[in-house]
Amino acid sequence: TTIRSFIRSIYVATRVRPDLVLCNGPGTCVPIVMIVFLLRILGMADGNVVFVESFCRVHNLSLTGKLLYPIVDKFVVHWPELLQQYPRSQLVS
Amino acid sequence: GVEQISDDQQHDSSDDNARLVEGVSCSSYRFKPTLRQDMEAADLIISHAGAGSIMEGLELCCAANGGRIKGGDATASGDVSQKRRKKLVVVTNAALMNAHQSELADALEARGHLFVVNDPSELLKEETLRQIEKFDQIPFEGGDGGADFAALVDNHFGFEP
Repeated sequence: TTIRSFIRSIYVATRVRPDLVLCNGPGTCVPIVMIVFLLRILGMADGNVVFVESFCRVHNLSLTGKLLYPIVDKFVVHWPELLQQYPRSQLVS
Repeated sequence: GVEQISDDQQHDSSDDNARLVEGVSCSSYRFKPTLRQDMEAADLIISHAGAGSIMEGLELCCAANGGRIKGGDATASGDVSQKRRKKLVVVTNAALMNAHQSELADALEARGHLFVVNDPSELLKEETLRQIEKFDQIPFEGGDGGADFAALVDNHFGFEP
């Protein structure tokens, strides 16, 4: 189903060409974020991604967070403990 | 089901299972559309350590204990001198997904915002109850996350606030 959602995401992302994608964490957002990122690298679109990690994550990131941390534009966390490990992240309390 | 232990003096006759247990009137129910009213009325909230329940509990405790709430729904009852010491106790369930509930619960406990119990049986111990009684809860005031987040996104795109 990930493959199916991946293909669907390509379709959606190229049709819509979002300026901004806001996601809050479930694994379902991974395909769409990756496609948006890919389109930007290929110069085909200019989407930005803001990822908000779960409030429950105090000391380490979710799997989705770890996967997407390198490629999103803004990575928001809720706990200062994470800022040291993930210096690109920003705190919103 | 949820068990609500209420003080004798409170009117709580609307529930199906109202009864007297050792002088304390208890009532319980299986489902309610929202627990907010009960949580607002209570002096002590004992909840499972789910994130949503924790957040709601903290918000209501902050309002009741005269803390400043930024961006929440609850309105402060204002009278700090009254010091209605509302407390939140949470019970974590280690059987769920790598004991993930403990991460949030422990972090909040370390900051003094709630009291953690790791097994329901601990609530039966006198030692635990004494600790809860002595526990001086610090209101969780939080930040105005909504406004801060909006500012962060605006800032990214170069919009002035």
